[in-house]
Amino acid sequence: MHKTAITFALAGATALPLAAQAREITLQTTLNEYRGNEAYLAFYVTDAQGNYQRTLWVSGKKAKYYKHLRDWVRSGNQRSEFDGLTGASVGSGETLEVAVELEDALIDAGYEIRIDSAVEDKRDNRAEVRLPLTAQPGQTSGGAQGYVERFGYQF
Amino acid sequence: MSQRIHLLASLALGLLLLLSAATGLILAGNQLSEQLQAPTTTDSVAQMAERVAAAVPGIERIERAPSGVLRVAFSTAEDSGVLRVDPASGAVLGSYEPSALMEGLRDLHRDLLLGSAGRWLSGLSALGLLLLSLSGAWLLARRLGGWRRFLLPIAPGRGLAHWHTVVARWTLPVVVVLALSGLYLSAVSLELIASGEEGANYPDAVYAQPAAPLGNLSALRNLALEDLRELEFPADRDEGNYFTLRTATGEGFVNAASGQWISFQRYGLAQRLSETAYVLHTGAGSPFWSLLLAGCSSALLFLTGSGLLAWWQRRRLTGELRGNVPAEQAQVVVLVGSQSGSTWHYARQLLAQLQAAGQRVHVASMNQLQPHYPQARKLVLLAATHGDGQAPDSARDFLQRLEQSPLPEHLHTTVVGFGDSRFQHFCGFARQVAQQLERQGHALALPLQCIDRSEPAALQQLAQGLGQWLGCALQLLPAQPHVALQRLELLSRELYGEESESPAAILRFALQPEPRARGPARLWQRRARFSPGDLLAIRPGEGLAPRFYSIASSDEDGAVEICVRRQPGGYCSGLLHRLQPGDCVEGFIQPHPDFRPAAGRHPVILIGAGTGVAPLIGFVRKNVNQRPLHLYWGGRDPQADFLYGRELESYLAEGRLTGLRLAFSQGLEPCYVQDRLREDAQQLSLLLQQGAQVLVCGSREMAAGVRAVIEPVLQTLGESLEQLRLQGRYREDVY
Repeated sequence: MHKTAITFALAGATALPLAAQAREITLQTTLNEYRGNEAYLAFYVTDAQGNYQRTLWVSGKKAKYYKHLRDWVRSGNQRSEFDGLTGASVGSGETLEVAVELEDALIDAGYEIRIDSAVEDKRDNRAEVRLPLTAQPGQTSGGAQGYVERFGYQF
Repeated sequence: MSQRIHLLASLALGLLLLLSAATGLILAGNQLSEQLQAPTTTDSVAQMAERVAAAVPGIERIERAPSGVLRVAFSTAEDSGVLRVDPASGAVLGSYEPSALMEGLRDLHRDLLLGSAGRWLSGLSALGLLLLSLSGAWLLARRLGGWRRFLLPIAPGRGLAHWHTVVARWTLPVVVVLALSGLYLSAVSLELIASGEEGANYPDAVYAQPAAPLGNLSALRNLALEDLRELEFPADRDEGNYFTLRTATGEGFVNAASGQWISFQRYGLAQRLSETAYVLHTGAGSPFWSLLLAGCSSALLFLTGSGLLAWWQRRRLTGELRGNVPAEQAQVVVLVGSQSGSTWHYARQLLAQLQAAGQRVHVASMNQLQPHYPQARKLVLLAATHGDGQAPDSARDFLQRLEQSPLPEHLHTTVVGFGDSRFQHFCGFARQVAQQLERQGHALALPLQCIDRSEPAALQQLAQGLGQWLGCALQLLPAQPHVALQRLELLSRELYGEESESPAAILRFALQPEPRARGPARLWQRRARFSPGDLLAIRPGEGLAPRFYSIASSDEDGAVEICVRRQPGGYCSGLLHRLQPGDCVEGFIQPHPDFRPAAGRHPVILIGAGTGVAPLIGFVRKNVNQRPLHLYWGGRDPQADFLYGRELESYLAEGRLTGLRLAFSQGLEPCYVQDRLREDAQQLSLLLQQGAQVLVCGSREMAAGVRAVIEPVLQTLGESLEQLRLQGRYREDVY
């Protein structure tokens, strides 16, 4: 844990203009009931234009499926950026709750959280969820064709 | 305990394989039907993509499944989804909905619906399949007499074990491919091996020129449809106006304006390997291979089933040795060398009967030969032969052990061979054992005796000899674990040569319906079925060994018909001759599937003497297709015992019988059936050249006389009796 915190700090130092002051953000995601295998999800932060900033969490451990998380994988992120930020894929109807560190500089600064989702042999969804990052807790529902029923965060 | 673990592991692996094969069969069938139904076109990817893009607003990507099905993902402000399209017209065929059943089956095949623990199990079953195929190939090579003979024909046979061998040999290469590829896929999926699918690095530069028409893009124009994996449309036209393209060989990016490759990266070795494994395991890409896989899956179902069954039967045969005494206390030692387990059956009978007579008996496998048996005076070696004269599994170390420590002089020893005379080196292993004992200066107390396919008469003789030697009346029944005695009611009798001292009778019995089976046995209980050539065993009394008679009828005729000659002083034949219609005896049907005309239209030469005509007349009766049948029959007196005389003549007129040659030993010109054969040597030679099969039924002496005539005829043709036997073209039923 200690090690990853240092990694974030370093990553933040290069990617962001200001030295990072971090806090913990809790992401809560509930999937709807769909027929199929467990979903791969990528949670990441972009600016309003969709320019990738950094990865918050990846559900699903097998790198060979990451190419289906279409926008996220396109951002040119490096493996080291989300080392230690991966967990199990999420099944139909399940809820994922995960707490990660987030730099203060990304909050209330026009950034947003996006979720790419994919299920084997089913549709890959680019940015199925888009939710502005504010200091107030946020909540939204997923796309009509996607796998996310509800997504929210709080500090 | 270890035996129990072994049993459970074998059963579990068997069940896993059954499940894998069953689901694999359905998946292969589905793959095949998808491949055959998938529309296709010879146009390039550029033309196809242009048509599809025009038909589907909001197109995101086109994917070509390995089966050839084309899927298109789209997303507009109102809607998104995945469609199936026709590559030739670009028309939307409907929404892409993978079948829930097939997905379920695929998951069942992959991980038994148990998640990653299930993937381990599937991997284990692939490993088990690989080990089974390799060890099976090794066993088969051993049985056939070496790897060089691996591809030579297997001697004809019947029964599950035979077909297990035949099917296994044909499917072995595909099974090994299936097992290896399955193992590789499991290892990749469990991340024990890298899959290498890391993906290409996206371009850093900005590509913002306006897109050219899709059909003009050269990189797409130069790509054939079957080489396409995935074409992803530009997501960001302002900065990243390029296509992501995955082909059969690699992946890269195509400039949407110029149509040139921005970059292209060939797949690495790891990815190529895992893709090859995928294609080999699923049949993706080749309907022919899918068909082979489907066939192989069915074969695996059969192999697993028959393998489990054979193993279970063998276990049942080896069975429990009740009253077995430790080696150091035994007076009589019985050692068993058995491959299929059937020889244990005789050991168990010896054990039970000797024990009942108050003797202390030790039964073990031949591998368990000990240098000393302190109290034993007699040693019985029951040695089956495996394959080409080799030691069966349970006797593999025997000769070596014997070499190391010869038997003590005071241990009187006898060797009994069990085998199948259709194979070369009949009872070869038993002979080797006898020879080695001789070399070591250990004389056999009784001469080596060989039993051909549990022949009842030979068994009886063996039991007599052993019984005298061991000082205890013995009887040995053929290996047939479940014999249900049936009541046989005499329907009619026809006597021939009543005045002579040994008249013959044709007896017809009604077979009483079998008692109703209880429990699950009811599921496979069938009405008794038999054909001419099978044997009717008659038990002349409680505790007496049955006598066997060839059957002349089939179950369709509604009666079991046999021919019996009353032997002077014969107990069973006397009993049968005294029966009056309505009287009953006890007996059972013993199948004898080897002794009947082989399938086909080849001519058949039937040779018999006396009551040996019974199965032969049966074959003639069933010959409604008028296949060429030539009957040579020898009797005593043409007036008194021309069994079936009138019937045979009518068949001759009708065409069911092509030729009838008779020989009577007490006629005007006494002659034997061998003499008739010798006269017809030229015709016989012609028939044998046409592939004729020879079936001989009668006494031992007659059979020997017939062989003496046939062998020279075969030699002039450059063949031998041994060869014919191996091909199943020379069969004897002698008594």
